[in-house]
Amino acid sequence: MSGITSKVARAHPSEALFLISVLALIVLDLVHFTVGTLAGAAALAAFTVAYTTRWHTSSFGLYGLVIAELSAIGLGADLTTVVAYQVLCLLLLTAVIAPFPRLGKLRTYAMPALMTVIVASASLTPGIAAAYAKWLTVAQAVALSGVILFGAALALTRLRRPALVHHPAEA
Amino acid sequence: MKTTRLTDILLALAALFIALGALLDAWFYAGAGFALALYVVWRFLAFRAAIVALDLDVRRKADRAVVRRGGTVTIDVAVSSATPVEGRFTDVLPRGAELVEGSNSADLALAAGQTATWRYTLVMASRQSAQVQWATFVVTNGLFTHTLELSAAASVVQPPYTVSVEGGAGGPGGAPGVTSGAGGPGAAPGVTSVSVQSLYRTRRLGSGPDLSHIRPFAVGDPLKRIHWKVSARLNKLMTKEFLTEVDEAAGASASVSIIIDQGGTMARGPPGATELDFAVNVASYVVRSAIARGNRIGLITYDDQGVATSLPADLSLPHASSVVRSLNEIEPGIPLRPARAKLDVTGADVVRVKRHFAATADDESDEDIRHFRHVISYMYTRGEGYLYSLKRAPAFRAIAASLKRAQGQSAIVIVSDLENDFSPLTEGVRLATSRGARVYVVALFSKIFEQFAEPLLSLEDVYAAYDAHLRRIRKLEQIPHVTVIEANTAEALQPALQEARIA
Repeated sequence: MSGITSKVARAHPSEALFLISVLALIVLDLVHFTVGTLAGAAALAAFTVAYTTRWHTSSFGLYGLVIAELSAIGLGADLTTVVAYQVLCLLLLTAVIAPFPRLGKLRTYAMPALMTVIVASASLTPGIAAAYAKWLTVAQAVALSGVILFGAALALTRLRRPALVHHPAEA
Repeated sequence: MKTTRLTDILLALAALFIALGALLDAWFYAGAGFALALYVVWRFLAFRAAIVALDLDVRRKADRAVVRRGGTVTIDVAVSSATPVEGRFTDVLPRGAELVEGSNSADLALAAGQTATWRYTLVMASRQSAQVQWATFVVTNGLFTHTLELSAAASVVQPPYTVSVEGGAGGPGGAPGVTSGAGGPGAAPGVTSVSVQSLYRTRRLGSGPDLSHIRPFAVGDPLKRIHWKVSARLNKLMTKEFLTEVDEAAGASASVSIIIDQGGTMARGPPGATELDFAVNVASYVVRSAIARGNRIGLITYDDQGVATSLPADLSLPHASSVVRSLNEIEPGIPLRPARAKLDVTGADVVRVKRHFAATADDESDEDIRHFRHVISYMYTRGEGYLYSLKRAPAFRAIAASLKRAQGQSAIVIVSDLENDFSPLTEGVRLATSRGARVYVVALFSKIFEQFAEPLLSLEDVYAAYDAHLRRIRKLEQIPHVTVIEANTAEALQPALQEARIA
């Protein structure tokens, strides 16, 4: 029965990833200390306790993402901090949604990573151009890029194409 | 590929944050929405790449090649992958098989090169060739779910196991020990054509190598084909019929389906020479001829309860071995209910009488009307419509099954005593010919054996039964593209007749 798992007890590296990302987010909040970020850090800490001890589900994990994203750090932080913060948020999201892509399959993920970069660049370009031309504010430009990317994501997830491989021999 | 609820929530959050950022002019929130949308895109593309890179190796092993009807077969499944993979693997069970032990599904978490093995047991509910042709593998990355359909042609590296099923010990007339040859239970699959043919020879009865059967003399028959010895014994001219007609049936088409009636009445006859033995001999010859000509061969048997064996037409040698095994293990069905009163009517008769009713005033009555009124009332008082009962009739289902699997030009060889379910059999033959198949009916008659068991031998009953048998044959002969080979099993009758005379 080797290789067969039970859905109940499964040790997963996502636990470590979760803790690391949450702690980093709390640290970032505390570094940019305000009342808002302090409240955000406290909420994240409470969420962490609740998630690890009782409600260990993906659905509940999304609350952690929402708490982190609603943090007040964005009101005063610089671009680098915000980008780092967003990356940590996505790591937190990955940790609560298992399984996540294995690092041992980097070669497999090279092409999708490239495609993701291309899609992101394509969606960012109009926003950046609009911001440089002063047609839109920075927030509106980012929102424009976000709308384009959101449309792409929506279109991709609604694809109903058949499987790429292992077509049945007989329909 | 399907999305999960989390994906929808994430997309909704992304839209919410983008709108929030635009409305509040807070680029942090707009960026959060952008990041979430980007994350969904990345997971989607990565998941597709993972599916493409998936390389499963599925191997199955059955503990036995032949399983008795109602018997069990244990399947060992081994699944390995060249890349790390997680998902739920499920073997799609074939029709007629039920899971009795273990599970045909397993949650797999395989490292690269790791093999997962497990076992489950099936019980065969009916006699048929069972193949696990499909398996599904459900993979998910938390946001997306995809079900891979693993077919034999694509990813199952080893050919799926085949279980040909046997019906039990040979019938009362079966030749014991025959199955200990190439096709015996437990024998390894892959019987050679040589052994298959030798197996046929061991099962064949009769004296001459090409003699099929003996029938009453008909005007125009050449004198040299008269069987003088049998004619003298029966005090009636009998003509030898050779296997050319059967040979024609086997060789005329690309696909040959043999349908054998193995109802309880087919057990009549002395041990070793029952009607069913005769049917097996005919079928063996057809199989051999078909194999020699490179035609597909299929075998379907039915009894009073339903279709007992169903082997679809195929050309491969293992399949031919399965057919031979089934022929060797065939046994007459147990008559669970008394033979039904014969209604030699067909659907065409019903249509005709309906038209007749429509065109006739109610107060008129004649013999035809009385007869058909009886027929119609009989049918409907049974609580079943004619078509409903027709579709449930084993004979009709057997022919319909052979048509479903026929490929190209097809021929159907039916071996039956025409005693059970004659009407459905006729309707099935009509259906087959309307679909372009040539039908050869080998009609057996050995009612006399039933009389031997009675203390008083009533030849009148035998003659009456033979007349009814002939009427059925004539009815079948009226259907276009149907050839009826009247085989009164005279050879098998000989010892019994001699015994009767001695008595």
